[in-house]
Amino acid sequence: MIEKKLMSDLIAIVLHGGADFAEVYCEYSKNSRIGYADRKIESISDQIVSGVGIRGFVGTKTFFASTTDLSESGLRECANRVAQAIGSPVDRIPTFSLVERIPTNIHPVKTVPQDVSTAVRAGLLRAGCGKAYEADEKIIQVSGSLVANDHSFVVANSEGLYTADRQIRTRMAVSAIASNGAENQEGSCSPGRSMGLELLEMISPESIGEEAARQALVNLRAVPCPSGLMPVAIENGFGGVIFHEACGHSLEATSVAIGMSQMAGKLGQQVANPKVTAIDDGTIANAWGSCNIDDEGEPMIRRVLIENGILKSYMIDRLGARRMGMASTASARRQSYAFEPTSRMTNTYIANGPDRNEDIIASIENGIYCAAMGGGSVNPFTGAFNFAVREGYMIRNGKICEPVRGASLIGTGSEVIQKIDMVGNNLDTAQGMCGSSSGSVPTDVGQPLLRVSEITVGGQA
Amino acid sequence: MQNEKLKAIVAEAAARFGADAYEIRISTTESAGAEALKDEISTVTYALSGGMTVRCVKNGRSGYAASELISEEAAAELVRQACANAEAIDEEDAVPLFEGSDAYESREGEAEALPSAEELKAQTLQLQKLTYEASDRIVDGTQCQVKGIFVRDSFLNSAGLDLSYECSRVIRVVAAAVREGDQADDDYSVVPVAKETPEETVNKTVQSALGKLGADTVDSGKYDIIFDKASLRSLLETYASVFSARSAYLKTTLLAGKEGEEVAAPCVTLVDDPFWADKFGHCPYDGEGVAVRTKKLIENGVLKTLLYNRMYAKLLGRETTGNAAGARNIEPKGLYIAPGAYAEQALLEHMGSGLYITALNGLHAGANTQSGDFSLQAEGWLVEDGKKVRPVKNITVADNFFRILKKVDAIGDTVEFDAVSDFGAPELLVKDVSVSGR
Repeated sequence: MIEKKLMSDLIAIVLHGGADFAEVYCEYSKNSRIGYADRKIESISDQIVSGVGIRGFVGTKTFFASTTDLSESGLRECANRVAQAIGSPVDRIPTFSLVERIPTNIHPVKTVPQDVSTAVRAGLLRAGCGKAYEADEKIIQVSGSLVANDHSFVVANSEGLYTADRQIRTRMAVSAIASNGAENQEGSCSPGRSMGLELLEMISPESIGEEAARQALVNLRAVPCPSGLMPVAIENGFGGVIFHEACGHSLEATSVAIGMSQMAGKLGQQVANPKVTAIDDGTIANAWGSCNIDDEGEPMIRRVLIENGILKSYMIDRLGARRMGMASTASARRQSYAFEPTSRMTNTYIANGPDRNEDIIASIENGIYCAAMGGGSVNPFTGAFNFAVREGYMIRNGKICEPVRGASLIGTGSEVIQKIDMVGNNLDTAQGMCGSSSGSVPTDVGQPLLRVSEITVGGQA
Repeated sequence: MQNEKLKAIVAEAAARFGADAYEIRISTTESAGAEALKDEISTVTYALSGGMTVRCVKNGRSGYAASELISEEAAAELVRQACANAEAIDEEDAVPLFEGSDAYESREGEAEALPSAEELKAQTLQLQKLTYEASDRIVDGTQCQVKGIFVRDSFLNSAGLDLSYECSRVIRVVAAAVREGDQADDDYSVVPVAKETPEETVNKTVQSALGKLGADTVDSGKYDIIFDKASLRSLLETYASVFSARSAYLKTTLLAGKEGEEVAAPCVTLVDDPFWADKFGHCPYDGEGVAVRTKKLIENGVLKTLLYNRMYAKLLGRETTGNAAGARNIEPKGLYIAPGAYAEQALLEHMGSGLYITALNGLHAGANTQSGDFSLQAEGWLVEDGKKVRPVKNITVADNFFRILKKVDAIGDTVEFDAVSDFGAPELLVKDVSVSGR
């Protein structure tokens, strides 16, 4: 990390260039990954991510430069690039002094993964992947990884903020391939938390391998999914990707502030079914998307986005706040120093609702039960979104029937959240990596079992 | 720091930590860009990124460590870490570090200095102005961007290899948002600035966005489909791993053991050409330092070869095809489906009725490389009597990649590569694909 005095000098250089706000973000991260395939630990790699990102604002314009050259001259050159790009040099700048603020750590870590020997960590991964092989002789291949990220940063700005955070995340992923000779199908399980290796005391490696194998075997006996408009019941956990894609991205200042969102200008309006309350909460202890502070140094908060169907809040970073004339909601996130931060989700979920889970299934005459979802994507301007079904079943006459495969669900965000008309009570979350203009960041999605009264199901049958 | 000095530090540390051999890859990317919003520059960026990766071989096993910090201290620490990682690996290296190919094809003049911030700002503002002038239905949120990328790469190892390469490209991004009444849509283009004029990029993007206004779904059913160049390229990129020898060795591609067999329609030829003229970068060596070369993966429907690196070539009794991405992973270097005989209009007329697909979304989740199954959100045009009659959205296109290869009916006559990736495609007509709409 660089000295406080130098950070202060870099901020001054940017202010001298004509900025009305300047910020320096300095990162040092140690990432380690152990890879398993074909019954062997096949790769072990460690990576240091380290650099500085320097930003200046002039009104709602931003000027940004990043570098891995951490010598004093390299850093001054980086700040000068920002100042030169602004191109309106001033002699006098406002005085500021950096005052350190130490955030409360609400995500305690018991065992820093990198402090545990590689052999012990490799053993945990081997145990998880090995269990998947044991499930059935149809499991022909298992791959997996144990990833640990130890991410530290300091952020300082021309308002005198000087603060730091250390975020440790651990994730084990197992993917199993089941084959009947003619066809291959996949199952996967990949839990992660903002914690250390104690993750694997809470969730055993063996259970991760078992779940991946179970899903692969279900998909191997699944039949092609039908196509068309139909009701669906989406299970908890990663099912929450429906809100993340159909609505969450459209509530980020990244698109709202420039009018590129279907949700722009709709605060206070009924945008979802009254049964829907949606929350983005970065303060949940040790959750995958949690942080103590956002990447602009603001203490993390819980945001109620939609309450009983009414739009209550957007997710706003500092630039978005300027563009929208609203306050930041501490939603600034970035993959690393090399990305300019923007508004992002943390742990986003639909809260428990009034319906009984059994009533949701029983209410569907002919539709799909989505037991596990994959990722998706959205165009916030048009609201058109998609996400994949990783494990699905037909529902006929209120009963869950045979498994189906190869389906995706599509729709328009503003329409689909009105069609979430039953919300159950078994809220759970699952982990994902979310991609946007500020890179890939860890986010949780979540919900209880819910029903969408009608959605386009894309299958092959 | 100079490579010579770095090499000396790594060599010393490798001896100290007991490594039998080592390899260093240093890669840096410099980029600079400007972006406009409404009628002014909204963002100016500059980034210097990259770093070094060290591989150490100890007792016949390889460990890796990488750092974005390039310093003497970091280099020695990477060697220590890589040696420790090598000791915890189960798998022995199949082949020793590479000593070098007989010859490397070189390309001169591929790297030019990045444009200055002032040049980037001026070009971006001009692009933004042209976009707003292209239609009165353009709305705020439209964003144009000009960005330069400069990549430098060096690769050296203790077996005597010492290779380097650099290339650069300036790209133009037009993201046009349009609105008419309650209909709104957008489209974007990413093209190398040298390829066409700003007016050409703007006009094609704005026309494409305007063309989407009024789009609607179609009835669910089976349709004949033309994938346009961009949508086919995205599908090819998603399924590239099925041609990897690593996937074949791990039995995770259905093409394992199929070399010499018919896997596609006779009109399909699939080529990997690292030197395709229009693509970004023509690095003469792969991730192990092997000279890259052009090869046909599928010729007239028959699978000729998978993509090999040295490790999987050795394990499967073949020769490397120069497709290493590091010691273990494999990647295409310029993958495209060879062009056929049909110009766009002739292809539309040949199809008669069906769908012309211009975008496939959700490929990272809705396409399964194990089974080949995909179900993807799509948009494009409804085609009747060989003419695009109306825009289409809110549909899914679902089929299986391996089955699609066999169902190819006709191929367009022009291949176009992506502005920054190693994938290219012509248009492709496929019969009888499942479409879900209403």
